Amino acid sequence: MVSKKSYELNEEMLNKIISVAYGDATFKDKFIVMRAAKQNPEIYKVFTSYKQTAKEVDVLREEEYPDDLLRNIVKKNFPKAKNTNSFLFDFYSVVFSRPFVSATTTIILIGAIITTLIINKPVQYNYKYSEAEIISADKQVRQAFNIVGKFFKQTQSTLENEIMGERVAKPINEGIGIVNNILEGETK
Amino acid sequence: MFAEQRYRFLIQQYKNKIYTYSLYMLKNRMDADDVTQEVMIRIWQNIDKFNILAAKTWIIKTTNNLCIDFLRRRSAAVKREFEIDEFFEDTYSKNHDSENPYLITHFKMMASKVKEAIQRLPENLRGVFVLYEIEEMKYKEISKALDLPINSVKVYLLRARKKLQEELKGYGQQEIL
Repeated sequence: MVSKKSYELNEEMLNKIISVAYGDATFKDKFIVMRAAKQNPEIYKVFTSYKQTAKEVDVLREEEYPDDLLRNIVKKNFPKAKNTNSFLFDFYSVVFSRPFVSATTTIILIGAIITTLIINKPVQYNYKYSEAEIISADKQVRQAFNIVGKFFKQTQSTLENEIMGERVAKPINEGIGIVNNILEGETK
Repeated sequence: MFAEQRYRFLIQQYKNKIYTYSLYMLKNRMDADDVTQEVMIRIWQNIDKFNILAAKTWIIKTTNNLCIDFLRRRSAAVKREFEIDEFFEDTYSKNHDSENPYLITHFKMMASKVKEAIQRLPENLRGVFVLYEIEEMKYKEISKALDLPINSVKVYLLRARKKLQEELKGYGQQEIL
């Protein structure tokens, strides 16, 4: 049972009215204020006026910060800020974030490589060998060729005697003989 | 490498909050611009130091401190009180779909009166009111940003609402049509 005293417009009731009007009261307070507003015209009047103000306040939105001012701030302060950043960031922002700068850098790099290749000819050695060194080198080459020649000769004889005769010619002959036998059998 | 991205994100997220708070606190567009710019510079200078998730409180705290500094320095410039109304952008009318010119005019006038009334609130009440009602911050966030106990935030908000009601008494409270 709600006492008659609870419908009076006192400080406590006013606080509840304000909370309800601004939409952040508890369900219990809402119930109390609604009941009181029905019973007491003065409370109803106060509640309505607070609700009206709350509605006016509710539609107020944040002010838009002008974009041109923002652009100016970024323009003014970013060059300073960029100095404190890493080399990678600087490199990235200068080379890759702008096509024109990127293209120019590539052309300069390619130009530098080509120029370097043209100016610096291949290295040439003008060392003169002694007679003994030449004879020794000739000997070594001959020996090397002899070894290689021996290997070739061995390989050739193995091919001719063992592989070609035994492993290739013989099976082919046998195969042809079998085919001949079959064909002869068929003609008969 | 990501500092710039973080900075841009924070600026996009909070530029209007900083500006709105400064505008209500300083009642002057040029000063609000200056404060907003200063806050943005400080955000950049501290971009690697603070947690991006706790940035909101830090930013509002910085804005509030700068506004207080501005108000102290500008205590003599009472004449600027008259500039309040004209410096607000017309953000109110966007929220009403009505095409009735009478209603639009009424809403605009009412909005400017409400804004003026908010700006006439005492400094401490105004800050809490703007953060809660316009910036839609929670009690806890306001408490952290303004270095106030949560109960004080609630009391200030209640006082601000009462004071605002008094300020608006007699103006435009009548029913429309």
